[in-house]
Amino acid sequence: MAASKKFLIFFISIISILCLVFYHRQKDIATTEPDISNTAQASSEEPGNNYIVPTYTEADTDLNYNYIINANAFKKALSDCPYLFLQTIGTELNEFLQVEEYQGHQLKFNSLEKKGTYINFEVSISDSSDIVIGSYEWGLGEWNFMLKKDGNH
Amino acid sequence: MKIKRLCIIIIATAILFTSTSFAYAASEKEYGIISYNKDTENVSFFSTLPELYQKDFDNVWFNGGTVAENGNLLVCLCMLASYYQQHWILPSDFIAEYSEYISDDGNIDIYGASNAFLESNAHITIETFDFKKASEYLINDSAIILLRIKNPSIYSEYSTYLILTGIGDGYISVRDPIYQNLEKHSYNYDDYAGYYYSAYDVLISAGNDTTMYVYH
Repeated sequence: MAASKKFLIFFISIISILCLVFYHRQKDIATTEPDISNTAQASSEEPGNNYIVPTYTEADTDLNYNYIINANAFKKALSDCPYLFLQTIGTELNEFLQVEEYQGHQLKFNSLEKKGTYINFEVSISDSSDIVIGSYEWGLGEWNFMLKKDGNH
Repeated sequence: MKIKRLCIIIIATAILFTSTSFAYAASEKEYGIISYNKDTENVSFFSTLPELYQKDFDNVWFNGGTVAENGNLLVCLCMLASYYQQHWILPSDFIAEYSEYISDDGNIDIYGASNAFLESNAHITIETFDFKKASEYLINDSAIILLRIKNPSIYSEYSTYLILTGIGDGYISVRDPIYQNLEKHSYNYDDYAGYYYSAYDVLISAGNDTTMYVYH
């Protein structure tokens, strides 16, 4: 076979391969999520499970809201609590912490116990060594909070 | 000469193949291909609320992004609409059928849209979230509740909606359009009621400053 023919076959093969590679690349782009938002990130809880993080936000959403992440850890203690305590603790804690200039933190119950008509609890704040010590008096519906800074009162 | 012709045919085929793939990619991006993998052809009746997840609609555009990002409420309403209309109403269907209830900035008039898909099957009431009331509706009325959690919570760092389908000892059964949540927060599954979330988690996340849409 002449050298020019060999070169021609080689050239065609290369072009064909490039076209096929390009086709598959386009197909992948079309079927995967386009990166259209700066807020869209892929979460990777487990390798291979890359989901788009939903970023649905409503007009009155407070993105700096401090929220509790481990309520269920106190399932037993919470089972006897008045539901008004459960329904309002998140809002009350957040309001107290916003005044103390904490924004967008995750809150974790360290302890929660009932003594008479009082529910006493201790809550740690993510990215901070400060701790909230609080109580709720369910007869009067009164809340009390105290911030323990860096382990000091 | 033979080889030359062969070359021309191969190159022409390759070019045609590539341009077709461009057109295919463009059409998918423009119109949105639903990657929903359930059998939508043979289902004509739902005995319970069907499941839909935002992640399955990452190519359907909505409100400046995709349904996977911005379609939390939309997907909840699709589940409810499908249930009450007794056929699949996927996000693109909902956007087309109930466009008059969707504002330009993507807000959905829940009350208006719900009344449209409920027809005479049921009715909707809007109430301030109250756990005791919600429990009574779920137990005594077999109601379905669309719960709005407006602030960040364990379920989302943004706003989120949950559909409450039942309640039991320490749990609330839900439909949650955020699939990742099922992996993180559900601890049981019931064919009829759906995934079980801790009632304490739901209650504390909802707080006292939120709304529930009750489908009676």
